[in-house]
Amino acid sequence: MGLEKLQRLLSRSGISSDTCVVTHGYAAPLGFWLLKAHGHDDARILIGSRDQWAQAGQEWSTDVPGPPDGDHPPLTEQPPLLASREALEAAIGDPSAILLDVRADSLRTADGSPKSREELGRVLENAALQGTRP
Amino acid sequence: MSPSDADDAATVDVDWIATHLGDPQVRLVEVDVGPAAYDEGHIPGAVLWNAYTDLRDQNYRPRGAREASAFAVALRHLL
Repeated sequence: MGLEKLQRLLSRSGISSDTCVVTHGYAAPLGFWLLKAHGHDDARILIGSRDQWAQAGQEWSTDVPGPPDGDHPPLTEQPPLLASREALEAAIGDPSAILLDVRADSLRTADGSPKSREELGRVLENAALQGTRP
Repeated sequence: MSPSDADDAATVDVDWIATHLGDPQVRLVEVDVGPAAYDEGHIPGAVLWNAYTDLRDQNYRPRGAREASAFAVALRHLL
């Protein structure tokens, strides 16, 4: 998405440059990545599913908050976290690069929360092994 | 103390969220592909980012949409 559109979304969400943003929910990794890849530094992600909130005895709310507008400065793309189509094409067949399709269920547990560090390590190791297969 | 000073982990758990409810330095964002779950109930103070309306790149087309559109054009020529 465009940098200005993202900047407006952040400001509308009450987010300024020093706000700690915690993403959660079904597409939490997408929000986390968007923030990191476009230069909002303090982004965090909830480890555990949305439902663990209720399981921990906490209340749900149906109020839609209208936080005071933040004043987020312009964003910039963070090159190491983004790959162009050309870079992607160059990586195909490069034994030092791994293309990981994260649409798969392999990165999540059955209840939708991210897998543990150990489990993710195994997924990545497996991907590396497959990548070197002739 | 700002939450950034407290720790710089990229992950938090539900207990962390519970202790930071109402902290103006913390913004909770529920990210989903639709409003259904959020509308049913969400963590107090959380805003919703809908991946298909708020986050979609203007050049994004769902898989197969280009082909479907080309097919529709071809079909119109035939009829």
